[in-house]
Amino acid sequence: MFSIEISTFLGRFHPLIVHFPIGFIFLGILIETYTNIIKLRIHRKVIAFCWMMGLITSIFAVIFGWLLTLNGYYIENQISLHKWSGVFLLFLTFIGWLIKSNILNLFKKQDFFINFLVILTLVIVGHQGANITHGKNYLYEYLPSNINNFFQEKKNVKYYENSEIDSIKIFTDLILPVFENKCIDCHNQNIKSGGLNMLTIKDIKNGGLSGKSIIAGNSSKSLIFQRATLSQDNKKFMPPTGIPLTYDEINLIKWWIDKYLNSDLKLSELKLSGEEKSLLEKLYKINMNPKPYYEKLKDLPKINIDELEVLEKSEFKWNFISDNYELLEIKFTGKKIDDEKILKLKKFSNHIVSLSMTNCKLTNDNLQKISDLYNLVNLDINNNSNISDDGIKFLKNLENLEKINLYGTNVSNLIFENLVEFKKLKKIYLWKTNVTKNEVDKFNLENSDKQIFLGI
Amino acid sequence: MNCNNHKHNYKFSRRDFLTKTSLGMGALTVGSLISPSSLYSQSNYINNRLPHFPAKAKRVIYLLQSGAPSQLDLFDYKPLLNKLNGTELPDSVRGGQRLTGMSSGQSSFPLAGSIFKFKKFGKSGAWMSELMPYTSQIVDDLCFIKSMYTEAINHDPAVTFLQTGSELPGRPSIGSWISYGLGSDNKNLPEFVVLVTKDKFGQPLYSRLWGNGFLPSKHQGVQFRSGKNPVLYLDNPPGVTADIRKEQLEYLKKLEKINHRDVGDPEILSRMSQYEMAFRMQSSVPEVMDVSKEPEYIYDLYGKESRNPGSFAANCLLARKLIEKDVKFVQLYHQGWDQHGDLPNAIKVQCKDTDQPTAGLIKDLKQRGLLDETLVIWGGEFGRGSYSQGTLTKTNYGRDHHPKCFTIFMAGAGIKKGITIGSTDDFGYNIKERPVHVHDFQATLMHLLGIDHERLTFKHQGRRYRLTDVHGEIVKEILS
Ligand code: HEC
Repeated sequence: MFSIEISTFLGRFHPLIVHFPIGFIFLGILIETYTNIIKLRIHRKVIAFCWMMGLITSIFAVIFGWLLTLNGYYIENQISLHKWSGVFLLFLTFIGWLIKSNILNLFKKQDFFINFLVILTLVIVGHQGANITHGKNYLYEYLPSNINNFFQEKKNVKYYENSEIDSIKIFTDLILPVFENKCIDCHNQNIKSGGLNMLTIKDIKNGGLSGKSIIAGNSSKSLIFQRATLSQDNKKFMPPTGIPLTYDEINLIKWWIDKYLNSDLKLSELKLSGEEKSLLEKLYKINMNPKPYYEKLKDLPKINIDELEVLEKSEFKWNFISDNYELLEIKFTGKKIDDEKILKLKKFSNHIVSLSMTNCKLTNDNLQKISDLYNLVNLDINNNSNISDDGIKFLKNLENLEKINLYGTNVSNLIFENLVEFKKLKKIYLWKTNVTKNEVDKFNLENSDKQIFLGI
Repeated sequence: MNCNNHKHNYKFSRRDFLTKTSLGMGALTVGSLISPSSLYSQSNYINNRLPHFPAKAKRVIYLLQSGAPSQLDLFDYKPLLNKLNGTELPDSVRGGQRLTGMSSGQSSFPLAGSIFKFKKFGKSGAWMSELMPYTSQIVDDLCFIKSMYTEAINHDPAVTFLQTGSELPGRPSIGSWISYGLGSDNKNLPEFVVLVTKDKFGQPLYSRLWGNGFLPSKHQGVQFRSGKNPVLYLDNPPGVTADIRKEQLEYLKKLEKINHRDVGDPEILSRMSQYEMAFRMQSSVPEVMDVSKEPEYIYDLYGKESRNPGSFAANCLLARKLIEKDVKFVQLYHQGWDQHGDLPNAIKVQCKDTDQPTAGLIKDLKQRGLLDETLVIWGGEFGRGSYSQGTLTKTNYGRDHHPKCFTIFMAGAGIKKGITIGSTDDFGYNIKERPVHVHDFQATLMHLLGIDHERLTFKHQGRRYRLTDVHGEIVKEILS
């Protein structure tokens, strides 16, 4: 029909035109009601004329509004209520005109009824339209805050104050939420405005009608960045409607394009500058220092101290890690350990974070019995010559292990296969084992997050 | 055993008795009729389970270098002093600082540059002089504080201040506070053990430095000596067998129980636990002191002096063994750093004594996984000045006491590795950045052990005392 430019040009008259039907219809209803009240007899054609004018201008309003939606700058699910209630209003106005012109005669109270219905619909349509142009909170913003809280739409902002930095991924958790808030409504797999889908890195890279929309390492040449940083009155500015990206969001996207576009790295894998850290802290409340393990174990049930006596009888010494955590450090103080003693620990399996069983003839099979100490962070089994690589396999459930002391055991180079499995493991003591320096060096190259101590 | 949850079951002392009954005997009778238990309420009972918060360090080895080593010849590199060697210390730098009686009469204060060569070591690029070749190799494990300062200018008050938080004698030593706060991890050995290098001279050391002060006496440091009797009077006299001793102790215990029931003096309990500890130590001490099973390469690591019982090196080796046995606080003392004259020669001897063993100890702890849980501290009670005491020659000079700045280093649990904090001016005379007071150091040490230094108190003579008095701020920059 028209080119997008012309339709948009005409469409932008919609906000002007909509005021005519409002005026005419109101005027019609006003005259009718007023003359009724003061019992003045006027010609019904006057009222019918108002409705007719209302009907004609309504038709224009709908057409121009429709044209405005064609350019894709509005988000379908945000405008559909306005759109269809507007069409419904047109229909009601038509019925109203028929009634007022005495063409239609339905029932006795039809005049009052149609007036009421039209005004109600008008309020709804008008409010929806204003939401689109002024934003949803425009009307309520300055209400007293207790009432305002009721109406105001809750912003759904993502914060990561309680997340671990090794659980936060750059694209999925930092970039995508920004896009979801401000771009995805018009750029997804169903509505690909400009041919662009912004849901995955791959789709973004593929770009839209103008080709690649992003160039790794070069934000200023990337269309996404360019369009979001144009002057707001430029018609190419993105997002065309709604709230633009904030300064911090723009910085975040620039940082991402310039440095980390190629894979969805975890935050813990990056070396961040102070400025980058404070940006993330501000936007997402991310706490850049990894939390110590005990912070995550705050809600364990209280231990009954009398029950710990069982441990003492089996030659285990216990300590609470501190006053405010129900977490235990356990040390075997005897000369020889066995399964029966180890099984006494089961009762406290969630509470034990540190376990030491050194120089006590511990065997591989014994280790199987501690495989459910899920919260274990520190395991010290040094100087047990019966322990070999097979024993380490039993530990693979201990996901939270950060430190393991195996010095003076019989583990060998085969252990490295198992060690990689422990995601949180940071320190491994392997002095006086069958592990060789060469293999340690190799392991270190690939696993910079783990530190191996080989000794003199 | 219930270790850090132990109640300090001291009933009530004479003073408590008087305060509790200060309303007179009438109040006493009424009070005890209403609530007999409140009469015995324990003023010194620690309510909370300690540590207050999760500890980074479980144990401490404090290598105290008595006499005050010269930071200017070891760590704090000041090329300007070499450039201005022999010229007067500017008054603007000294700023009217008080001097000891030993050099205040000098007519001239010629600046004395160190005659030792300095170099940067490790990835961290820490400055070290050639005097410490072994320690230089492990600087990336160390944390230097170059801006320590103290208030005392003479040895006794300074070392007393460092160890007890007060220049006046009578307060508990750091180790005693730790023992009182955290209790024991090994009921067969004391929590607080002291090792003094034998046959060294210099500033006197005396047992009040590791004394319990007003804390119950079972918290005092126990000195282990080299030779046949590591702990004096621990062995049974000739003719008394272990069985006899045991029986004797059992009877004694019964008597003391009656005594305690009647009198209620908290020291009775303390004494009883010490008798029992001594009995257990009769077997545990010889075991831990026996270094004959240590392999050659361990001796080589600590240096050849480590075969000589009672030397600093041998004590370092012992310190490791004590730490392995869960002793909480091992305090070493090494005298001989008080080099007012002939510093260049004397300091060489001192470094030879201490350099390799210190580095060896840290490496040994590291390979055993103990350095993660053990805090090692090396340092003296104050520093030494940048002008020469006595005549300055091309090859010789002396240095007087200098409380305004000195260097210590730490390694291990909870401490950042390979960093230096604080700095001094180009004359090595005043602190330029990040002053760390002795109380700050003590507060930090407590913090690493999971103790809030403001909360660990003991009521004595009507007021609550703590190690850091009313001072002390944690040096956050060095915490890992
Ligand atoms: C209200 C809908 C809407 C929103 C929201 C929106 N866009 Fe668009 N976008 C469009 C339309 C329609 C086009 C196609 C017309 C044009 O290029 O202006 C488009 C085109 C683009 C193009 C050009 C694609 C090409 O290859 O030609 C880019 C890049 C773009 N948008 C980026 C963004 C970014 C980044 C955001 C979020 C900050 C965003 N858009 C938000 C509607 C939207």
